[in-house]
Amino acid sequence: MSGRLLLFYPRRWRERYGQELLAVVEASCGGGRVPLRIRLDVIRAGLSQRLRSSGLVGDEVPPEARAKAGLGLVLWAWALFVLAGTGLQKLSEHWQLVTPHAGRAVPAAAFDGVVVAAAIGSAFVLLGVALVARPLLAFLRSGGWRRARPAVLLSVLAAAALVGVVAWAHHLTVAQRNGGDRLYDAAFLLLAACAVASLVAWTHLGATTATRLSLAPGTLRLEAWLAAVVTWTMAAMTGATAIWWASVSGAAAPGSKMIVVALAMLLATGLAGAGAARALRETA
Amino acid sequence: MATNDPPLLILTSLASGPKHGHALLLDIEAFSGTRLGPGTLYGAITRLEQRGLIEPLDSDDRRRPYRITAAGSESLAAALAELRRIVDEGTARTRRTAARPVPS
Repeated sequence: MSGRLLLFYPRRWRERYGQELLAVVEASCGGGRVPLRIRLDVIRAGLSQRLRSSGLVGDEVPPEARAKAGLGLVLWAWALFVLAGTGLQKLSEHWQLVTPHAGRAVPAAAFDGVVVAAAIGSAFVLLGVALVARPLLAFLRSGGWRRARPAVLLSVLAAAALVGVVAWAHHLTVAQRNGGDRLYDAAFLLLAACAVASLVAWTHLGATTATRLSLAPGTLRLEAWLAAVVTWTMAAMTGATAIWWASVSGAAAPGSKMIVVALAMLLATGLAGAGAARALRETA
Repeated sequence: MATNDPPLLILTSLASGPKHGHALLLDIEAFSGTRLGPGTLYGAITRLEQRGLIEPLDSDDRRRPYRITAAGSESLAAALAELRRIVDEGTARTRRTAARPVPS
């Protein structure tokens, strides 16, 4: 049992201190069952050590690595926001149909706000990638492309699943496409899983590649400011979504599903804020 | 700096000689009444070692002892002086308050 507790720590830390820590844990509980208090203490400390080693907390790694960790967190937050945004897009598909014409002005303006902020945020994310295009290409040419293979493979799989599901959907009725055909539902879930896995793989690739790139201090500072702008667009989208949700009827956006979407947006915005603040502080 | 600050407690414990992890926990509990968890202890040990305030000694088994370095002794002395200043100030203020006549 106590050996598994070490999995909460980073590999390097485990190699250096793992056996010592286990010896103390075992001595603290007389070789018997590890009490919950000690287990929680070790888990909390392990997660804290992971945050420190990644550069998101503390000063164990150089300032450049801390700034890159902050940028990586913004990238992960953006990926989570994209998932939440996809959920919002699905939930809001037919809101105009169930909202009286006279009451559409506010939600329509709010929804337009979401779309505009999404476009600005996406443009700044792409600008951030474009800024590091030269060192990124050099990294890929020196063998880094091998790291991209899982992400490319998952993207191809997601694209193939999308083509298959769309082709199938053309042969089904509206009722079959909306819960009337279990096999189609399963295929749709498979497509969603492939898309999420692909997004996670590309985000992981982006965040880990960023830590390996050699960037000039000015470029890193600019990336930190871009991350801050992206965070503001996420905050704007979250706010606009809240206004849209409050101004449409319950039938236009099911409450329980919208709560999940809204919480994901809030969480992503909070994480991005923490990451951008870290990057700005470390590049100041 | 709080009196239950793990790095301060570890440096204080090591000031009387090298100790391994479990011996540190027992000593700290004995002199301060603070019961540190193993995870908290090793989190503090990691940071103290990285800052050069303590150093590991050779060991044949998993129980590696640590000792305080010269920089660690200086850091401990500075932290204790800071605490002493607060204790002295707090004591003086408490005495002044106690000596003041109680308004009727």
